[in-house]
Amino acid sequence: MIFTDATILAALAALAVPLVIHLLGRRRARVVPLPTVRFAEGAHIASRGRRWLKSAALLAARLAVVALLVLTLAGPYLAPGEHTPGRTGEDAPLAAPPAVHSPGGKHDRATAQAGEPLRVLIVDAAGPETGRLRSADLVAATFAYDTVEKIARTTAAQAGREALAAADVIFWVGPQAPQDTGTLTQYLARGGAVVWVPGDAPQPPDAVLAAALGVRASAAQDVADGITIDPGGYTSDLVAAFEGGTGGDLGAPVFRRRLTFADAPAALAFRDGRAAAVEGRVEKGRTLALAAGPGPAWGDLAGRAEFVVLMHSLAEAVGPSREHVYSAPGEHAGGRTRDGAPAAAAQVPTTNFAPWLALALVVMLAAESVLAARGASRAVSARS
Amino acid sequence: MSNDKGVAPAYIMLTAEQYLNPDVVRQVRRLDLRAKFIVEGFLAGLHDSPYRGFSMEFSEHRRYTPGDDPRNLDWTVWAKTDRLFVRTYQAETSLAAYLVVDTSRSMAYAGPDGAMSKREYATALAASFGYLLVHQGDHVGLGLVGDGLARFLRPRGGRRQLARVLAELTRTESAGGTDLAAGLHTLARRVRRRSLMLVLSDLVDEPEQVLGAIKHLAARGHDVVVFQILDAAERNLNFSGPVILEDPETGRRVETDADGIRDAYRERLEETVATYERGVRDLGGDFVSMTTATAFDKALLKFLHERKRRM
Repeated sequence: MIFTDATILAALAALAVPLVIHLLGRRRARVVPLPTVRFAEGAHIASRGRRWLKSAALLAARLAVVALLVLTLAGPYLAPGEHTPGRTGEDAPLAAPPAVHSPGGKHDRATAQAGEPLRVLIVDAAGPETGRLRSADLVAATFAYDTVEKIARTTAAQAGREALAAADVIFWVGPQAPQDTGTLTQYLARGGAVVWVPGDAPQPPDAVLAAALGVRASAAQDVADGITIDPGGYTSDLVAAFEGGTGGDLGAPVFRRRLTFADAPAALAFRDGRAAAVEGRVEKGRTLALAAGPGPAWGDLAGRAEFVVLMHSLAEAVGPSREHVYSAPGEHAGGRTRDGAPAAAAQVPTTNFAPWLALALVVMLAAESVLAARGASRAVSARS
Repeated sequence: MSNDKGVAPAYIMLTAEQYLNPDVVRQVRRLDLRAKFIVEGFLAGLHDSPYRGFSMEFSEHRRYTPGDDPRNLDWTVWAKTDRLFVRTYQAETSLAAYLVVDTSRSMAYAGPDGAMSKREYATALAASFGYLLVHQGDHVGLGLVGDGLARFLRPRGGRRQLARVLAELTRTESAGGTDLAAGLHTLARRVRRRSLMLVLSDLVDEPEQVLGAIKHLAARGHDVVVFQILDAAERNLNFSGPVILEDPETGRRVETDADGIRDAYRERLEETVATYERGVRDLGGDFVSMTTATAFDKALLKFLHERKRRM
């Protein structure tokens, strides 16, 4: 179960309020003289169980009211990832497998095994912007290179939680707003896969995002000559497509390294041994963070065919084993067909608990009111 | 606010019902006036009641014969006719009645909304009984009961006796524990003449023992009328929320939730009251349970009813 805004869950601390009221109420007993105490003594013993039950029921009702209120505001829902994502989807493959992809490679194996495409979503902090080609555009282009003009990027907030939850792999480009980082954390917590790509601005992920990704990174010196990946060092699945040169030569492009990772095993290394990509694990989720971005100002990678293969390899490496499909914002993992027409919307079985929680909240409020009113009416009748 | 005589300024303006309201009676400080206040208010309301004849009502004149009480001479008739006549009254029999008042510490209790304490109420009621008795020519005695029989006055007639009774009632403070049964047993042993025992107590005691003592009194030929006086707070447990209930006599404490135990408390209390009522009636006596908010006429009517039965 994930939440629209998990930060609201912090309000669960308010559960302490009814508890404190309950405990303070117990201490408030005042001494009252009463010559007929012996009747009260017997009544006290006789009704102990019933009184405890009433008191506990009232406390439980109040706790439930607070908890349900907070949960309702937090917007819980059962994500499709908890229903085996995409199992019921009818997504059509949008992009053909890269022409350079080796037949019988991992991609084909995955397709044969799962028979369903990967849903890839590209999230950009800045959101859609016209007139300028940016890193997110380039990543998006690799998944719909034949329909690049139709590709729109989105922020996490614009994409909506269902689209995020439905994605098999999210390419998370650049720094994000804190609330979006929270969304990312939730997505990873339920087993999502994220490829983090440095954005246009040369800055490492902030502490919150780094924690969400499970990596630590700092800004690196901008090496003017660039660094090439050792073509002889292909050992990772990330670059399996390049084995034997079928996917191209990753050593040929010029990278401009921007980040240095700490305490993370390199999934992909530069020639000098430093990490070009590191893998992290956050609960059930997998992350992959790149040290070099694909922006045009950073190197010539984006202009090469290897870039397309690399992006697909990254998605395959971290995501579930399925065929790729690019989901444009608003299509909620429906994707587009090869000719650009929208594919059938995926039947993503998300379960929204909000109405049920609201109903339970109303029931609990009524129960609390009845229990409290009974106590109050007893008090009033006592005074009268 | 009261004047020199201890009577509230509103005294003159009161209706008969108000004379019997404990809230109003409380404003009369002096016990003798308080008793007079209650009884006169009570009698004012009796005009159409079957108990009309119980007051000191003039019946007829008859000629004076030697031996008649000269106090009964009607001097107005003598002035007009030059003959001596004496007044005769309907009730001329002499009844011996004991006012048995519980003086234990529990009787000093007054609830948060109580007009007066149980002891004050019992004292005012006993004084009213005494006033009625003396003014009807009956004899009134007194037994103050705490741990045992603390004070005892044999029954006599006359205003002086009434003054003594009222003085004792006023003087004796509520203190000590309750052993009503012991006091009643002592009383049963000491009083040989068949009398009317008017017992005023909260009966916060073991019913078996108290009923045993009443049985002792009944066996001696006494008529017993028990007036159980409770505070409304005791009767209904008029408290709310968590409370520590403390017995002023024993210091015993019970920490509980008043709202949570009220029903069970009332059930137990009423059960005990019913036990007393059943027990006293089985012994031929009468039982009246009241609170300090109950108008005094209820008890006075019961008293007159009992007196009529004995005539």
